[in-house]
Amino acid sequence: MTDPQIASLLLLVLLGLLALRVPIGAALIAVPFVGIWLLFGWRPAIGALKGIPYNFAASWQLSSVPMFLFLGFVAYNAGLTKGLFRAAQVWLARLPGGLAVASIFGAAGFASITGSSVACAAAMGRIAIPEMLRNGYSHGLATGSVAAAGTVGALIPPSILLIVFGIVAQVPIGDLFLGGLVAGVLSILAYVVVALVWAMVLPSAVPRVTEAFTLKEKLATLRDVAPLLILAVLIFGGMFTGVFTPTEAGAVGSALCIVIAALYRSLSWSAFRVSVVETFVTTAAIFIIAIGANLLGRFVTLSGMDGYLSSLILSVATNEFLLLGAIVLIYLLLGMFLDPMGAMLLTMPILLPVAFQAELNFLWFGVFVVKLLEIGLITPPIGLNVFVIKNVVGASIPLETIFRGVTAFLVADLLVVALLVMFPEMITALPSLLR
Amino acid sequence: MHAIKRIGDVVTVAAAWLAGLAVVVMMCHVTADVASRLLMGKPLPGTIVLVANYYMVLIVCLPLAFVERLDQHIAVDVVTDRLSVRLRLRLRAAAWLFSAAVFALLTYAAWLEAVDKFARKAFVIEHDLALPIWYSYFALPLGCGLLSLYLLGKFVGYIAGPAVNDRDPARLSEQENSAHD
Repeated sequence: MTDPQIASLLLLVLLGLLALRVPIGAALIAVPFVGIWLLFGWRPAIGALKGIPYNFAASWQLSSVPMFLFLGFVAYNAGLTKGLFRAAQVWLARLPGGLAVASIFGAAGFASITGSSVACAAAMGRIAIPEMLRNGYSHGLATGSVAAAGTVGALIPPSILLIVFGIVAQVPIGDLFLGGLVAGVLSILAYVVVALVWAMVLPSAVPRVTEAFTLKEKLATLRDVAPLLILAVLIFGGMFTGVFTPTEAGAVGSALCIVIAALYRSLSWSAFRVSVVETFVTTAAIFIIAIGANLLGRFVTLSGMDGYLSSLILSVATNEFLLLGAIVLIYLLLGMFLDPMGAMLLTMPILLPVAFQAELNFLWFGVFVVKLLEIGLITPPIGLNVFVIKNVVGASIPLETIFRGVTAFLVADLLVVALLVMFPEMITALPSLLR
Repeated sequence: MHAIKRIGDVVTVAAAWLAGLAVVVMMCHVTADVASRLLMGKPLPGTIVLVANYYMVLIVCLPLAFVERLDQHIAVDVVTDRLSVRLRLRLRAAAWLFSAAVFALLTYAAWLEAVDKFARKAFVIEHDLALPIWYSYFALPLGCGLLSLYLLGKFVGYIAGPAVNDRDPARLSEQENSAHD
């Protein structure tokens, strides 16, 4: 057997371990270690274990991950994000499908302060779905709109997935955030169109809200969300104009968020403590996988498997559209079984060399991959966001109804993906314009 | 056995609290650095080294066992969810043993590296400041070692029987549900 063949075999072992529910981190550390040991001996194998994990953890750039996580957790646990849906509701309720549109905008607002889709869907689901059901919305639209809208959490900055992609693929995180912002806004608009069309085609399933709000009430809701939105604009404005690095944006954002929550008297000691615990638990859980993925990347390069697999994939996918079609398929399939971070880290060592050989723009590729991973959150059989929504609504709405409700939004998602493929400049233009 | 479990829990939680402290101190330190740079035109010395080589290393390494205690290490459930509860539990136990071995190996490698850096008194020079970083190399073997022991403890608990670790299927699904919440 040649080195790349042994390496490919070990990749299958890795998939087997994952299927047997070995934690992704442990499997990702074990397989490359055994691989390097088999191909090159004990010393290089131990050498990789000695050097890579510490050097990966001790990273200034990756330090933005815990800081942005902390910002999101503090904002949520202190209840600062509560007003987002209410504000959108008051301003948009009179549109056809207005509550669904409001929950989509609410999710967008939440996404601008948190970097995780699942958190976004959970937070918005708890507030928006009961309101839609109370107003007689069809179960499919009420749950589907929130499950789908939650997926913009990882596109609109901050985005933990985009930060990690940026480190692995060596793309500036600020550029990725701008690209993600474009893809996120595009997705939001597509979801809003779906909600509007749904309301117009099936008016009986989406009753008009007759409740009218005075201008005073409308302005009052802005007071609740203004600090959060100003904070988001300040942090990301500062980041995109080069005043802050991503880590600084996350840290200053967290500090300001704590000050705002203290001024609003909404940050209890227990909310603060929960935010701290959630921050380091999530960070450690992500990093142990990322360290494993880094080891896998080293092994893939050392064994020559990157060239082997790239030429294999490129010999089948002979033009760019076939290649992109194959990548879409790979991520949609993986997204059905793996969580986005695991799926991304697992595939990067193999697909980045392919993308490099196919001369794809890495900035565009990163946003494209994250969009695909986010779609994986709402596709059956395993759609994490759909499960989160199911958790929120309990036994009253079956899982199938939520998946059915998501379908229309999935069509919109595939159209967004097609747009990204046809007009890649949409993603790449903004960062170069601002530079 | 219970005493050992209690000691393990205390150490695991203490290590996690150090990581929590690192999160808060890192936020304050970076914010102070930005304020100092914007207001006085002078950043705080050594910020990058402290963030990367201390706070980050502590946040990533120390809570590893605590994350296991909460059952929050990410794994793929799709395939095993279709198996019987008994088989699922056996697989979980096998995965604990396997992971314990993997992290024991990582502990060994990280320990060698830490001892190496200690012998050389490794430091980083930022501007005119020589900042020792060798201390932080010990966080990785500490965190991984704790995780390995914790996993081993879970495995031994499983082998030792229901008295120590509940093997009741209903309790397992209860545990799993609470882990998903």
